[in-house]
Amino acid sequence: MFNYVYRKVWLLFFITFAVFTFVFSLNYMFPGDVLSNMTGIGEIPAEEYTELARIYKLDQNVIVQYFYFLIRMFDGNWGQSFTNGTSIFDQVFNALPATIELATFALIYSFIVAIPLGILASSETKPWLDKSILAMSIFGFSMPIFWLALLMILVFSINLGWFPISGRLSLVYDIPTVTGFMIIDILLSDVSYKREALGDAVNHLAIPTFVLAAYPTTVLIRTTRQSMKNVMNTSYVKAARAKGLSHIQVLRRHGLRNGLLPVIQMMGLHFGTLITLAMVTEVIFSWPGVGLWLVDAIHQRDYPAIQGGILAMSGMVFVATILFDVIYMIFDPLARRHGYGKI
Amino acid sequence: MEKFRFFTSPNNSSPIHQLWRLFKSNHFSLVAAWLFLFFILVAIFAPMLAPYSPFAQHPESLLTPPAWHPDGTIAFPFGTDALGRDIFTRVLYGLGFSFGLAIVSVFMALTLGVLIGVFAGFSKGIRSSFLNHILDIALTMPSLLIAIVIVAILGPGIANTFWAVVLAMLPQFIHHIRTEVAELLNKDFIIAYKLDGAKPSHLFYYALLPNLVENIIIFSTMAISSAILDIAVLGFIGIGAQSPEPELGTMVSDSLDVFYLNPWTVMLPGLLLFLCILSTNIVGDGLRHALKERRLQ
Repeated sequence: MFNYVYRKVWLLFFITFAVFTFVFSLNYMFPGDVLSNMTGIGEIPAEEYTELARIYKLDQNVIVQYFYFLIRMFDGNWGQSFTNGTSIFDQVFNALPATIELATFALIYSFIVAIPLGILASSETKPWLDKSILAMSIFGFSMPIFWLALLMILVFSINLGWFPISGRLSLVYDIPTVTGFMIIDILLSDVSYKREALGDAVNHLAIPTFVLAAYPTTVLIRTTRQSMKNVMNTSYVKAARAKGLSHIQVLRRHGLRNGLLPVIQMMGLHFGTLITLAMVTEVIFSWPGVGLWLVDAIHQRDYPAIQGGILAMSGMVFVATILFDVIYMIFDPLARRHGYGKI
Repeated sequence: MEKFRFFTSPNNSSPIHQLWRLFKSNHFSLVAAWLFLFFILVAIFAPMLAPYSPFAQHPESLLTPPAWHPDGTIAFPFGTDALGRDIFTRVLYGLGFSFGLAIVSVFMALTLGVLIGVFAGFSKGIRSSFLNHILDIALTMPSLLIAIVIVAILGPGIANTFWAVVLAMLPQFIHHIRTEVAELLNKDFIIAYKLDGAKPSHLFYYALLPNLVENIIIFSTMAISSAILDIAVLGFIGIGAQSPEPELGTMVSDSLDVFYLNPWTVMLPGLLLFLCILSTNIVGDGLRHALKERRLQ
């Protein structure tokens, strides 16, 4: 186990190094002046240029530049935005909680929906159920996320008027920002309209969560179905049945415990896609997360902001992937044995 | 287990033939395959089929509803958008951009992927380990995020989108082919080839490629659907194909302003996009299923 975690930490270290190298090389790959890209100051006056170049070690070779770049990054000095001159580090970490909140709710929702459906679909006595659930999952898988979002808005926000179209919270409510996670902030705050604000926030969450969850739900349904089919055909499940356990008991004691392991692994593999889809969802629903912010930065050619956004997004994806991997290893000793051979 | 087959003759048809027979026994897959072919033909012949130019504006008939609507006219079968452009024409051209370009980009990624993947599969030791690490990193990044990063570097535009999608898919192809090649190289018949004195190039051409083809086709089908989605999403968030170009994702985002009053301007391109991805996915699923069943036989 220790050996395995050690390998994963080493992989994380290597990945971090590679991502930082890539982001550093972006300074040179983006059009425009290298010093401008590094500092985030668009028009550097001629008299300050040499001074700044000395501070940013541009007069030395690339290796030295890279080390000073790393030091700046770990200090939290990610440069400033071309467009509004504020610190990118602050902007990224203000926007990140909104994205994490949306992705977490979508993940929880897809777990709640997909696992029962997957178990239902895995039952061999009801093939029609299996077929209809699979057909539904392939529909959900093929639905372009932005189109699904627009359909939902058309039906539930415009025609029925049940849910708001965009944003995180109605402007009526004023909730002080503590953690950046809206639901937690509302629960922590001591305002008189707590209950109403909570309802409003949940209302705002409903459609984006559903839209974002469409993809992980379909993936989870398929994984759960396949792994439950495999588990239910093993001899230990047959032995449990022969022992006289009821269907529910077999499912709870043997089926789920083994059948849900691949689901954890699948989640790790698809977390990156979830985060990217969250970016698109944010753009449609004007959700003030890091995705919307990054897309705005790309539109405005705000190169330092793009660098910061890429660093934050990919860092989040890598850490989550490795975390899911380690969790999977903790739960499944059999996979751990296979894990020793490779990285 | 040996089955007692009284009425069936032993199956001597070629593997591809068996695959096709199993594939077409599933009606959904067959319909999806025809739809897929139809879309390819439309994507190729769009300029001949389209009644107007995709950029031609008809100021006298802005936002005409589709032909089946009481107010619609047959002159514009799918209606017109806010600038009076015929949606039917734009959708036909859009198939070429979204669907045709996706297929071309998959071919591109496939060619590069086979070259690099086979090289990687043959390599051993430190070179292989280094490549593994790089691939591990690239694979953790979702393809859409890589595409967004590449577009951010290159700048928006349909040509840059194409390259972004190719480069974003490349790691998956390399990884897939490398694993397949590494697995095949351990098989006995490869060793027999080697003992006969086959050079790596012979080994690749006569032993590996015929065994790879089916897997590659199935994997490519799945890749096409994700490529369609990537191109459309990039177009939709405004960093892919730029506005007057008739790309389906761009068309959807162009018409967002009039979406509430004239939903067909958004719904029809979206529906077509959905059908493209759906048919591709069903074909891919059907092929995979057929291959699994053939291996069981």
